[in-house]
Amino acid sequence: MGYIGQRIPGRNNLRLARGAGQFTADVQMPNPCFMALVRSPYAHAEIEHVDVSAAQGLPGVIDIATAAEVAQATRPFSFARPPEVEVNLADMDGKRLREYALAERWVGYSGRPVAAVVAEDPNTAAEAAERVAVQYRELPVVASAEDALKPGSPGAIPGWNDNLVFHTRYAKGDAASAIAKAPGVITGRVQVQRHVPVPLEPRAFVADYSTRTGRLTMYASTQMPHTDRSILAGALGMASEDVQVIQPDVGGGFGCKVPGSDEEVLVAFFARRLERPVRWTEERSEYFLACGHARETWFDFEAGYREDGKLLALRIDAVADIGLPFGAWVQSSVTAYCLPCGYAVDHCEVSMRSVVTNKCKWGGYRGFGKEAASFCMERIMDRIADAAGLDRVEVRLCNFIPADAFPYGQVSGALLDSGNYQGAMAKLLALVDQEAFRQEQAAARTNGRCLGLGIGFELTPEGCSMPNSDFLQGWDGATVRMDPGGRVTVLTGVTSPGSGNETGIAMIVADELGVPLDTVTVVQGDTDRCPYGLGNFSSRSLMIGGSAALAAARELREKLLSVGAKMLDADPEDLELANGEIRVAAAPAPPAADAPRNPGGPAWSVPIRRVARKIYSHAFGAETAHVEPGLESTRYFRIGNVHHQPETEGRLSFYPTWPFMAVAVVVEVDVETGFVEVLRCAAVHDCGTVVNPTLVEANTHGGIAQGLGAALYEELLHDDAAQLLTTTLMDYTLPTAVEMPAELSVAHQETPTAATPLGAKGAGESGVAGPMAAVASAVEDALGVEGLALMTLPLKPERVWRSIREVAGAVQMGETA
Amino acid sequence: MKLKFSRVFDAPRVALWSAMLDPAVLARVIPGVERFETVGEDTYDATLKVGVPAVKGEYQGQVSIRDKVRGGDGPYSYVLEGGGQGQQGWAKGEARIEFSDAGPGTRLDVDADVQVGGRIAGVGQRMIEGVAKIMAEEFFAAFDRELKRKRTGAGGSVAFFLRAALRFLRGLFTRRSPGRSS
Amino acid sequence: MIAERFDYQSPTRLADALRLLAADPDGTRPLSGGMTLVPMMTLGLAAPEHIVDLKRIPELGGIHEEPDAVRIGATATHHDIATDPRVRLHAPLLADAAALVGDVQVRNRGTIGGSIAHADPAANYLPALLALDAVIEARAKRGGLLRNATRSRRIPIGEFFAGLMATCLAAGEIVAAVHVPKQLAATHQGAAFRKFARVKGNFPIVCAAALVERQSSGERAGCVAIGGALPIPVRIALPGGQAAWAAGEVETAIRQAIDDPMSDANASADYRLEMAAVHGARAVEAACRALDDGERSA
Repeated sequence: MGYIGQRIPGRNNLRLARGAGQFTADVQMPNPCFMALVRSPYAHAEIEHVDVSAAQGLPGVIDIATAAEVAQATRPFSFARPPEVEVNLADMDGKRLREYALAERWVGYSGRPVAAVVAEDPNTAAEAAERVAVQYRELPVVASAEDALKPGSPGAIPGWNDNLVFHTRYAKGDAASAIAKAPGVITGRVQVQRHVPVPLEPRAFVADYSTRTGRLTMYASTQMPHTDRSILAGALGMASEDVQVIQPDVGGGFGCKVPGSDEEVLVAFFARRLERPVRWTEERSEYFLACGHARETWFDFEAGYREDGKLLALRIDAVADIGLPFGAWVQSSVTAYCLPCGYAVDHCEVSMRSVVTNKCKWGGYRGFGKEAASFCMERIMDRIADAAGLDRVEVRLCNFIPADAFPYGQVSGALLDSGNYQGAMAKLLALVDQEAFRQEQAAARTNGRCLGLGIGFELTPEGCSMPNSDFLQGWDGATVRMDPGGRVTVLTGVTSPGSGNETGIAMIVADELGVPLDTVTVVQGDTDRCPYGLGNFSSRSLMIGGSAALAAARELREKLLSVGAKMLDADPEDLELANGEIRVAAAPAPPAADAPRNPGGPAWSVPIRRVARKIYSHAFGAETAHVEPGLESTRYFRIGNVHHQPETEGRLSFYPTWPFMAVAVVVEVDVETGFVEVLRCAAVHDCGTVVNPTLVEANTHGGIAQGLGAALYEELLHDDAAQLLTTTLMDYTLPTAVEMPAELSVAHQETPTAATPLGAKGAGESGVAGPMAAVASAVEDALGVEGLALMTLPLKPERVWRSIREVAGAVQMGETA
Repeated sequence: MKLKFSRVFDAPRVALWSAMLDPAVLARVIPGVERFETVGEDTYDATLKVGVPAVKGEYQGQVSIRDKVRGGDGPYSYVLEGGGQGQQGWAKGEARIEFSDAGPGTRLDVDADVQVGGRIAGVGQRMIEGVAKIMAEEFFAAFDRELKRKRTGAGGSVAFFLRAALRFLRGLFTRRSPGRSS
Repeated sequence: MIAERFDYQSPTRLADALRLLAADPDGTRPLSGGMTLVPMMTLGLAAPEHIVDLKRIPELGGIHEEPDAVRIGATATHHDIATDPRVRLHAPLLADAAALVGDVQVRNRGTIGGSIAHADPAANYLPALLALDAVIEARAKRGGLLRNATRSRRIPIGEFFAGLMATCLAAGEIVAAVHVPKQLAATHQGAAFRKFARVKGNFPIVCAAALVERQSSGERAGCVAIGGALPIPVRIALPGGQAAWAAGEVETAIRQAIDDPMSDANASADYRLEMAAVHGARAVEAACRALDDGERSA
């Protein structure tokens, strides 16, 4: 019996839980020094003068840099018109931005690094940073997307004639006339707030430069070591081979640790300049200010529907506030790309305007824009149900892309590989006894308690691959080697943020080679050792990295079978690998261990390690002369269902696999205060073939926690001067274990994909959007107030409370709710 | 953040107006002023210490007065503007102050817009409104004292000397370490 | 990261600590549990040059029973207060308030002295102590020729809080202990504490401490104190001459007592006012039920 499909806990869990993890801040270095940053307190300003004199004199200060030094020794990050991607991008008419790791003359967001100090210890570095005096001249601040779009608005970026940077448009059919003819029309706005992932471990970098070898070694809490290496090499003007990036244990990434940060370039810059190891671990407030924000988007929609709930036509006018145009701004395009998600709509028009403001750039956050799209569609579905007087689940069922329509081309050109949305929903409804809940709800109401049930659906494509992108590619490399003792090492280009994919990859290779799991070691995150890869994001590590490892392991398997066949005097076709042996498949059961050996009898099996030994030590022998020596293979896997050649393929499709999830949530709402408690949550998740149910569930639990966070707690708040008001965990509230529902269950449905050899679709991002929608729906169900539409997140108590009163007030005044 | 305050003072409008443009008075009524130097017409360099007792930040910056409107039957008004930088961040505010007749006295209406930035904005958002209100209270109280000072005249001087004498006597019996301020 | 240098002393004698605090009141801070001071220093909001650790001074610690009160030393932790049998017996309202401060780690280190001297309007202790008519014992170095002379004064809780995060403590003066009058037995008094926060462990938006007692006439008297709505806690006497109160009338009384509620990103003024009213009424109701239970068990 193979490992694939078995519940095996992540092999790093015990080590990490014991505190034996080696995170970047744990990496030991001889004679290190420490960096601290001076950050702009203004969101938009010109730098008139930087005075470092008071800091220089402090004992323990080793070096101070301003933009002048950095500009001489590094290259800037550059935003320019992205490589031609047909169809979707507006003319950029000269919008460029080049920024060094330290601001030269201009700061575009509060928190921007302006100067950097290195000292013998971190406290002295912080003290010196306080003493650097910077003179700013304030410029008009663009603090919101609304303001940014107003005609005559000041520019968030110097030299840009307006604040609109992308305008993505997709269309199918004729939405405008279809809406005009539709029996019913609803309009409204859905709003997703500005969020940031909050990993346990903030960013950390340790760099060491050797003049002897001319090489830079960077330990980084990152998600993409090879990409990071390219970026650092580019920034420092070095050859890639002279840069080594090592990703130690990482305490969570969720998208925020993609390369391209000022701070990492500065650590490398100082390491080279000072020829001493340089360390930097960020403060949590720096993380909130400067790592990377996400998701802030509104959707103005117009939906034409039929009496039976069928969505006939949809127009969506969306605006995303991307802050400065660096980092993961592409998420807003992803949001547009996914609409209308899992629903078949004949007439659909999507417009997404991405707007720059004086806020921090976007960094990735689990979902990468897909969650905002799903949330928008789910709220529209619920509004149609309300308007048509229909059951909310029924409306979804009649609009889902039918199970027999795959592969399905969505409005944007995306090709959805496989799906069975109705099946997932049916399975969910079987888990959630709606009848029983309605009785429970009624009984609770007589006791003055408001319980509500909400259902959400999310379509969460994975494996992102964009044309001409250094970051987002749907291929990866793996090396599998077996040593003379039969032990296996897998080196992957994919990495782990702590999600356990190294265990899943070990399982795949162990099954393929028929060896015990504990003889397989997986090495990740070292650019000197691992083949080129794109790291971990978009749930790709297992399905793409695992597929590359599978291909490499398959080559070793062929060689072992070929040599083993000679050793057993059998046909390779008749052999199987299992339990560390190559054996004849039809052989009688092996003799008992204590039975006398029969030296003259036929050999039915041979230990794999003996075959390996033979390959290494007897390469000219009868059994091995026909195969190439050595027992190592490096293969690169390119995932299917990605289409980057519109001229020949007729479409642009960025996401190869399309997992999905249906989720139900039961909440209790305190009507007097607006406080929402999540009591129960059940989800049916489909990520194709499940390699390791434990890992899938663990990842989904985490996704659901972040979905609940987005629904009820998380919100980055800026004021009119684009000052970030939420820079601590006191103000950026997160769900703790106490806020998680007492009952949380995840069931599986498996609709495999043809895009990967195992049929696995990836499971890392699912769980965010479904709960966002289900909670909003559940709160409405709990309150049962006609006309109550909770279209803006988070549903913090005051928002719920005020919404109830606004609707009640409108009803009292005789207006139609 | 926008705030509005109002207080009626027992003095005619003309007296209030001139008092509120007098730098010596401003130095005494603007809350937290530690240094107040005239650098131009209606423009002053200042050091202000602002906050709650546990968290006071020192801000260096400028205070200026502009858009003076005086004359006719309508209310007098001017705009008091100030801003400064400190280690905790920066702060700036603009207050339109209107002086209207209120019987024999004058009503002062303050319409203020306060903005803070940097570290204090990131961690102190719970307290900012409260601090602004405290400053407004201190401003009005200090102004009240100013008007009383001007009114008491000679009586005020006696009180002043008495207070000074008491302080002197108390100081004789108190052990002070060098550099300590009372 | 603490960016400013400071020196640290940990005296064992109260007179030494007070002398250090008096020497440079502006530049010296007392340190108790550190759950307030240390975050402020890490966030760059406070930068004392001298820190005087009070935890090794015996007079400032411990919980002692007196004839009419329980004396709680300033350096007693929230955990100690929440679990001490004498506090639970004689002032259960205070134990309940202490049990809901922050989270486990904060309760194991944070102290009552540090909390009330800082006087954050959202602190649990403020309304609880106000409802209990506590008295603050404050100590300072006494001016004069004697090096070790200290002076002590008792400040009724109603006079202790002066404004937003401001107390009436003079420069160099510290909270030495909190004297909580022994409350009536559970057969005659019910108490309840309610905290309303967005997530567990966070500062509350509002908190409410209610005390209800049975009078000989069979009527009930009581009060509810609200924290988090105004810069200082406010105590509302419940309408007298009644055996019970409707939630609506308690809410009205609370609303009338709170003019100009605070406003921030977690709660605007009107919402905060309503939450004060709602949670105050709920605390009163719970206190009444506790008294009902107590009377039944008599």
